[in-house]
Amino acid sequence: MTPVTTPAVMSARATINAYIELTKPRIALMIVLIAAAGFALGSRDGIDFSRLFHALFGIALLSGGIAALNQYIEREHDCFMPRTASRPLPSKRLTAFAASTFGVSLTALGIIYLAIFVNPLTALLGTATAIGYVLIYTPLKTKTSLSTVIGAFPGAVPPLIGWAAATGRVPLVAWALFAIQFLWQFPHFLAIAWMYKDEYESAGIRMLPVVERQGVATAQQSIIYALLLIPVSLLPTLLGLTGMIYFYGALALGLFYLWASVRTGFDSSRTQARKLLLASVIYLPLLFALMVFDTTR
Amino acid sequence: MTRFLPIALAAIIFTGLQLVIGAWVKRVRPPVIDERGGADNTLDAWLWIIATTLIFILLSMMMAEAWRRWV
Repeated sequence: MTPVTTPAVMSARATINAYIELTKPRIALMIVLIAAAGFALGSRDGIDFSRLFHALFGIALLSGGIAALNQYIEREHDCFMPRTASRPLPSKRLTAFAASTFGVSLTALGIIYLAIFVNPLTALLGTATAIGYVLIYTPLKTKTSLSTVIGAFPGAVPPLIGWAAATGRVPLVAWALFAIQFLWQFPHFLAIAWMYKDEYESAGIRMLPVVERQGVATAQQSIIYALLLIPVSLLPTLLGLTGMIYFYGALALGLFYLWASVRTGFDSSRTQARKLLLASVIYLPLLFALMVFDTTR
Repeated sequence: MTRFLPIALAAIIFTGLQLVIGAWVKRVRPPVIDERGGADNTLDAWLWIIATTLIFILLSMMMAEAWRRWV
């Protein structure tokens, strides 16, 4: 008799696809692009393309490894959510052992690659991100809604790690990029949590809208973080990294993101939460693109 | 003491700001009809306010330093 945990026999192509899916390639791409922006912004004397390639490759490996380990840890919760039930582990296309081995290998490879081909600081930041995301944030998701706050720390590392890869240092202005990405995540993830609160509840994940079902605290926190993001997003100009085009562009984008957040105060619908999510995915790439475009270095 | 005062002031401002926004949202937001029922967890809401205030104090320090360099 075949054990239920054994995946169905799949073609080599389908297996490879399942492993690729396990790395969450779309999220990895966004992380790599933001890290590339951090690298470009940190490169005072022109971009070293060889180092950039090594940095992005190492970061992509690390990102894929962390995503795989995250799905390994959450494999049972993912079965309860329609949004995640078709992932490689809940759909039994890969075994837990295969996913965990793949995740650990990719994460370790990413860290070692960054240490050898980029610099030790980048590898150190990568290690801290992996520990923070996999060992602290992911297990806390079923324990407390504050896991979102904790997860925002490793989630904000991409621009910082890009800067560290370029320079081997993380000055105040690099921390400003970290702060921007840190604050941006709150309206973004709270919108997702509001949209899927019933699924999260079924899976036992304690997101804020799950424990505070009227959504007052969710809207309150979305608005306050979007509000604070406006002055923080202006820091790159105050710190001499970008010019006034960025300054006014960031101000306009910040007001747009704040307005989308404020609308969730008036309107508790899922549609409105989706609009906030859309605003968030427009905001961040545009902000970093503007930063790279209007850099003063 | 002089170092403590701005931090205490920032804590009061940020907590107050969150409470004001929360009160506004409570007033304007239509109540959510929740089939699952269950009381709202106000402890979590308060923990979020405290965590957010701590984060904002740290960011205020960063912004103060940036402002000092700017002027």
